[in-house]
Amino acid sequence: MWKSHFKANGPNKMHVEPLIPSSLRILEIGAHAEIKRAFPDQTRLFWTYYKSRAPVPSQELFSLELAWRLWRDLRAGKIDLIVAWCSPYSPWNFRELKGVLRAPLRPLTNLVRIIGVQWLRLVPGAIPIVAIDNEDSRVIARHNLFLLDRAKCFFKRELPVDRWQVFQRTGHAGLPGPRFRREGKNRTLIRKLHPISLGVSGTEDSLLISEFPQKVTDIFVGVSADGLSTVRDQGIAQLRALAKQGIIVDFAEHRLEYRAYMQRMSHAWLSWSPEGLGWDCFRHYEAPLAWSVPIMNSPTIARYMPLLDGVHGFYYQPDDKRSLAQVIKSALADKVRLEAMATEARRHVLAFHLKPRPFADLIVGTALARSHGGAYPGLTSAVNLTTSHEQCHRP
Amino acid sequence: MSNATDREHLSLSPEPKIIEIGAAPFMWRAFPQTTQFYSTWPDERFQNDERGFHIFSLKQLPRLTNALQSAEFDMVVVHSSAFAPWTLNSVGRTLFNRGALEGHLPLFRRFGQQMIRCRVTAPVIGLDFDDAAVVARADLFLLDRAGLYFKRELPPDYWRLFAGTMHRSIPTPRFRSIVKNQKRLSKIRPISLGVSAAIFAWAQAYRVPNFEKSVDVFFAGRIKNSSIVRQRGFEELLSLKADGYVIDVSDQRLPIDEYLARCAAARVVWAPEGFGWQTFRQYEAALCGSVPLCNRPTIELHKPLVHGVHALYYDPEPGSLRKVLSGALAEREKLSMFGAAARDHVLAYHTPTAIARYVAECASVL
Repeated sequence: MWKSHFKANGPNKMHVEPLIPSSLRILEIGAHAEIKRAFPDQTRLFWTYYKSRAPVPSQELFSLELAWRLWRDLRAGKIDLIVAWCSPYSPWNFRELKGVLRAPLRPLTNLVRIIGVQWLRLVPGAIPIVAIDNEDSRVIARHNLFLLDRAKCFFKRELPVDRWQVFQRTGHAGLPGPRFRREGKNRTLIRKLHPISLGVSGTEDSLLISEFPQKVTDIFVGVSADGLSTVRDQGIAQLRALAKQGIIVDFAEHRLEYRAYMQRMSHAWLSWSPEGLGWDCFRHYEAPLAWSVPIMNSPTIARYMPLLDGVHGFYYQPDDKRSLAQVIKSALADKVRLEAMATEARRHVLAFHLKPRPFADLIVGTALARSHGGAYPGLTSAVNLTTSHEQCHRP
Repeated sequence: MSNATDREHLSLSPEPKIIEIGAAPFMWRAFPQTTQFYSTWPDERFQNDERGFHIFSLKQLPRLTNALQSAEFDMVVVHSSAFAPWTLNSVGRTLFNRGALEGHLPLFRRFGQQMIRCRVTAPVIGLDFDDAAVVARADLFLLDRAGLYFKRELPPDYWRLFAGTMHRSIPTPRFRSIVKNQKRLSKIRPISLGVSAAIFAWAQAYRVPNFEKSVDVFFAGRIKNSSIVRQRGFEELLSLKADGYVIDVSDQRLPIDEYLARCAAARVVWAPEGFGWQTFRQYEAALCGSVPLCNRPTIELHKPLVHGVHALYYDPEPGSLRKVLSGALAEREKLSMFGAAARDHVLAYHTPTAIARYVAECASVL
């Protein structure tokens, strides 16, 4: 299967061609700045995290005055698209209110800032909103449900395979039943949901290794295993047993600098990447960037452009005590295949999972295509193609 | 999985003496001679004290209290209930019920599980067959009192059981580092939904049909207002008809004999997840010697049907079902081997009796 897949997908190249129209004016609001990083000249970033420092310099800290000015701009049609990042906690949660306590001399300023995304409840309905929930939870928190209501599309990272489960104990008292699923309004909401990957930032360090490196170890384990997830605890035990059987396992016992971490990963044929607080994990994508094939536990969520089993990575069953060891041993039996897989996995990650682009292309492209009934005329065909991203199991 | 789960073949001799409290007589069906079952199901009308089948009521209170304090029993098996009996949800379900029109108002019945808050001599075992992959807030007392807690929809990362119930969101590292919570987690075990009691009873009374395979894929079940996985997969399944595959679909409830006959006549039975990942259909298909085709498990399973040995799994993303199915149907001899292996596996581990024995064996080491 992997050989035919490589033939079908051609040589190793990046997928950053698509462009959005230069006239498009975007407002990004929340505690992430991927759209601003991708389209700095077209995007205004309103930073709402209680820590005022944003990853890009030209941020605007959300304030009452700014909200008023922005509302006028929106009314005047000076904004074409709003990209909102969901916060895991509501502004009235103590974790967010900590921000107010951090600056006791400016309590109102910080209080207004953390309310930022909620302010979108007031914006005129004609402006398309796209919401992104990049958090570990598999449900949409109650304070973010209005965004699902208002948004043209809602990107959810930990999207349950049965999407109705995003309402479990938030939009519904328990697990949504048939009556809830029958309601037209709820069905409309479900249609807005799209999977999205956690992805990886295309920094100098993450893209450091540009050629296939020399392999020294069989598998790299750079995972904190101190009871964080039961999947990790179970896997570590199997890996320690494997190490005794002669497999060269590189355990990173302490937290590594990012560059050193990528380099050590690049020297291993395989990288173990079990789920942490959510199933999706940066390591799933970092390993391919370091030319190492990721071994992940079986996915429990719907994925965007997934790393395919036997093509870009390997999956094991955590409920089978021998599964991880078996997958590792059979993978290591064919190093030629592993090299080809590492190359293909890297190409795949560069093409679909790199931040800020093509990640931002997907967000903006899908939103525009959605608001224009399928395909947006100003977009390149490649973006419109990318928005049909769920057609991922190509023959 | 626990060490105890590897001890399936321990003999239970003599049969364990059990008190069971809950909505369905799961252990009572497996060990009818030695189990005292107290039903908390509001619609339950059957009662036979001699056979150990009681309906929980104020009248039964002294009997149950004495039994719980008695050293005569080996274990107390308590079923979970998603709502505490004093919640509006629970009271509403009792009041706004067809039985209420007939003057049948069992307001006290749902309190049955709460009896383990009193003195209990034997070890308590929790059974949670609920669709939701969390431990409901109403069941936390059961988890605390229990020596073992069997959960059907068990996330691979067990900590997720507390998401939205004991913890507001995903349990954080701080929550996970608390010893009391770790202790709670150590009691969790996976349990199979298995073959439904009705089908198993039918299969014991009559013989499961063994037809020649004339259909490629069979599916019977709800599509509308069920899981998205079903809706999406169904379109893909029907599109296979155009490739010449014989697809048999029924969207209506079938009589048991017809359902089993149509399962048995199919090489593959499509069994996607419904409200929970596990469905009876997965095990019933295997019981008929057909190969269950399921979306990839999102939970941890006890004695799972293994891909390429007993079952076929596909990814939920579009295109995967078609790919897995057409690949499997190209090798029909292999499919009949898988079907035979699946049937043996289900008879060994996933009948109601086998599951009840697994629970009793795990509990016997407490």
